[in-house]
Amino acid sequence: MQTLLFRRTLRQLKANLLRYLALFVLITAAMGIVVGVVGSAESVIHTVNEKAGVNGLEDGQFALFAPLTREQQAELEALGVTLEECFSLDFSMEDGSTLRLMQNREAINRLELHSGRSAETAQEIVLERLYAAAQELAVGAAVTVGGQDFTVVGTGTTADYDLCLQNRSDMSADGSVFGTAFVTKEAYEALLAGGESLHTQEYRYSYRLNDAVSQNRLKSFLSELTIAPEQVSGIYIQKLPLLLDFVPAQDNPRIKAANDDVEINIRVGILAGALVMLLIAYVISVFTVHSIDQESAMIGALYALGLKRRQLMLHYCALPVALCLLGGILGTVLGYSPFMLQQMAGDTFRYFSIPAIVPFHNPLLLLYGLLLPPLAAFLVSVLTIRRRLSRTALSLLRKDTGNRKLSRLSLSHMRFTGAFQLRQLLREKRSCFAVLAGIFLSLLVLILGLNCYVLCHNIEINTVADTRYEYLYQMKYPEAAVPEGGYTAYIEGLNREILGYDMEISIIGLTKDNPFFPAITSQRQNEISISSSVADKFGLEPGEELLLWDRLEETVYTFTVTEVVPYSPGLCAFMDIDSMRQLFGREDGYYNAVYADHALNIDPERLYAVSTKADVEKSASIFLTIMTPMITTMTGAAVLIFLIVLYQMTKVMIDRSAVSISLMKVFGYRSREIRRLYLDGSFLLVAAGTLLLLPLAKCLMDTVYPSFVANVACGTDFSWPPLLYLAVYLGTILGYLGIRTVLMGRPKKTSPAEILKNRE
Amino acid sequence: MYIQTENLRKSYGSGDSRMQVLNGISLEVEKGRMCVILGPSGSGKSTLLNAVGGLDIPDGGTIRVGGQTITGLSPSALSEYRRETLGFVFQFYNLIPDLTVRENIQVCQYLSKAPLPMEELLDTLGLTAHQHKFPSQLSGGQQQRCAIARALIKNPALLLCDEPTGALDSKTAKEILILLEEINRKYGTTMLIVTHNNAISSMVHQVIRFRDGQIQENYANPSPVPAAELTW
Repeated sequence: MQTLLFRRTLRQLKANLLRYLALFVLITAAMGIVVGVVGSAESVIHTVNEKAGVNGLEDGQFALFAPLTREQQAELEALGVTLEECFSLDFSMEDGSTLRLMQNREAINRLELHSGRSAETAQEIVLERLYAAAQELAVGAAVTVGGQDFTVVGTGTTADYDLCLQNRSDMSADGSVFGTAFVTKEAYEALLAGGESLHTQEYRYSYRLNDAVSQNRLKSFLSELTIAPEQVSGIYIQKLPLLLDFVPAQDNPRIKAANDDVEINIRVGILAGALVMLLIAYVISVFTVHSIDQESAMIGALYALGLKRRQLMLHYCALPVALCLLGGILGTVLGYSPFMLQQMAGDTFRYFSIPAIVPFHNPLLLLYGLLLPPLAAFLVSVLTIRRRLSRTALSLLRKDTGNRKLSRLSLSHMRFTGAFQLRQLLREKRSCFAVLAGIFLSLLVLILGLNCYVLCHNIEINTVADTRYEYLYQMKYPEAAVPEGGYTAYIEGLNREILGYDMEISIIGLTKDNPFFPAITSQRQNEISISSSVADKFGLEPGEELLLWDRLEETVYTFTVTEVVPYSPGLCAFMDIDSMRQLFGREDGYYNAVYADHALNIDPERLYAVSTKADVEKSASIFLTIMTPMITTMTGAAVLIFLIVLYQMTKVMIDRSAVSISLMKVFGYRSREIRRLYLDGSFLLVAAGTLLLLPLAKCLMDTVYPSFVANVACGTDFSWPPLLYLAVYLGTILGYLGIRTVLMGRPKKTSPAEILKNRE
Repeated sequence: MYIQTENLRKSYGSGDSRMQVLNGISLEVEKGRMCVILGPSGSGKSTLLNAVGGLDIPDGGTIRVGGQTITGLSPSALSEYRRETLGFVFQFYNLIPDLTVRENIQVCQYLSKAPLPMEELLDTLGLTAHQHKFPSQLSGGQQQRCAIARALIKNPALLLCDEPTGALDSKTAKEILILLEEINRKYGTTMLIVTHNNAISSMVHQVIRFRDGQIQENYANPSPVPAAELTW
């Protein structure tokens, strides 16, 4: 018997080949994208972790005002700590970009070559691969740094610059603006001696604790070290601790940033895959229910002849399960293909300075891809058809569909057309549910992509508009006299955690006459004016408390938010400069940053870093460039889900009404009237459903979206302009009208003689 | 004559399996008459009814209803013809299961510019008490009454009934026949009734008997017996 039923299943497949082919494409595409997204994310994480281990990733790093003495180094080594000098010099390149030069590493954060080899002579240089790509410098190219000529002998990455930020508080990385490079010790010393660097050498050390000492113990040791003021000429402060900066690896936004970025892809991908599969399984179950309803009398006859429910259950589940199994297999193979890995991990590889991604095949993901589709199809099919197949042979023979509470709703107060349309929707409630679920899911996917677009676009536009200065000079040794034409400020980096990510907020102490920032009203030590990006990111409003943590001093600062000022670049908050100096124990007149609308003549020896408005603008535009493929993929996936689900469900609604439509034709109904009775209801469903579901999906996505960008130092302004809502709404309606136009041929073709087949 | 057919031919299938179901049918029915078409299964009676109803297209011959030739009309013109002229009653009612009795009738009321009064029709057909019930809550007889009410609400000139009592017990069937008789008398509706039931022939004005796609007998009944007096 089962063989006979199997043959029938094959015939059903053949008879509805296009329908099942469309669903097969949807399953394959959905699983291909999900396995591709999740698999590539796991491959990124696996590659980054493995290479970090191979290349001796640091446990942390610290920066000092002056290098450690031989005795201090010996003391640290005695504690069991391994140190690697990561001194650096920043150079301005011909195209305006900044290149940070470092010596070849020996023990910690060793270079992972992407091409070529390490620098071995004083004329050789290895470039960080994203910088090399952005500057179109390949192995063999000549490059001049600090007035000295080098030959590029390799490109590569280092684990301490996984996200190649010039400053840790920067919003984004951009190879066309900043990169790192590695040369021999001799070459480095020659560059140092050349004095062409943008600012003084940074004395930064990477360390590994080797399980011999804790982070706190090391920090305490370093905090106790001081340097005599006379060691630094012209310094504008009296007492100087040696330790400038102490960052354990887990708090460093440059380290394993790619992992942080893609981890969310795994969670979202797994969840989205399950939701899409449930939707597809439900859509297929609507067809199955339709078949059972049509074949009710036949099923009753088979029961009467002794066939068991289990056999028919298997028969009706076989096609959905087989379809989903095959779709799942093909989708998984597609998802794991090198093409998909390249597509899905491409954004990550182009933005993060990580080694070449090695494919990693997680057996659990393999099981997910292979088993989830058939399992979802089986469970949904069993749940939806069990009750239908549990009816008695007699009720099946009589086509008694059982419970009709909903369709027996009293609508006597309604006009005929409205009542008919409503009853039609109630009769097709399964299809209507699938239509609404399909719209909701495709809207979620679309909004995921559009929120990303809007966020990137807002960052780009607002950052350009809000950055009013042309130059920012971050001072290492400020002069007593304020540089001519500059506006001084005092900047401190304090931290606040959000969703497990430690974000640095730049607290900027402003003088009242600073023309580059919005005017602020904060006057006291405990008062702070926050930027709109901080308000968005942390959900803060005036009057609320803002708790910030000083990583170095291990001190918590509590501020009252006095106002939110419109400023979107990075994460910034503002204080009155005098109050800020008092709060952080700085003497009157202290500053460590100078803003200007033109280049200032400042001794590079006194500088940490210089950034320009052009740099900020370039960094702001990188997001949109990097995210465009993802936005396109999401939009495409949303459109595919929408079109296939709506087409199939509208078609099944028309098919299920074939006899009824035929009856209407017998009575003399015109095509326009038939469309009004049978299709205008579903049009209203789509129109009203989208009107309701669009804001709902937007609210839901806005609630969860901040967690997707929690690791990015920017605001979370993904508010849509009203026109975008209108465009999405009209797009949905037009999409449905297109489907309806295509399907309108079916009721037109339905013959009035169809009713004559309705014989018992 | 209200209904006229000339040399009507219709066949199904092809080659060896070709079957001639209507073979040169010519007949006439006067306006306001009840006409019954009798014959065994496969004799062509339902095919004739469907052809007159514009549901089936004959291979040859002509059909005129109320002076209008309907053979050769386009599907939309046929639709207009059914809308303006016809009412249909089927053996298995063909009510829309998720519409109430009243709503099922409204389906056709909606099509007419001058429909019969709904309440009067409900009352005539004994459906007033059941008007808010769904078909599955009604007996077979009540469902057929509802189907008749649906067909009559637009006050059609011609009522086509395909085995209207075929699915009913004899008592209920008689009630339906009494109803059809009353409607014919009250509204002057011309009726073409296809049936297996020989007893019905005594209550109508004209009897046509089919066999193998041809008219075997066609005669007028000068003194129809009231439906209430029928027995079978």
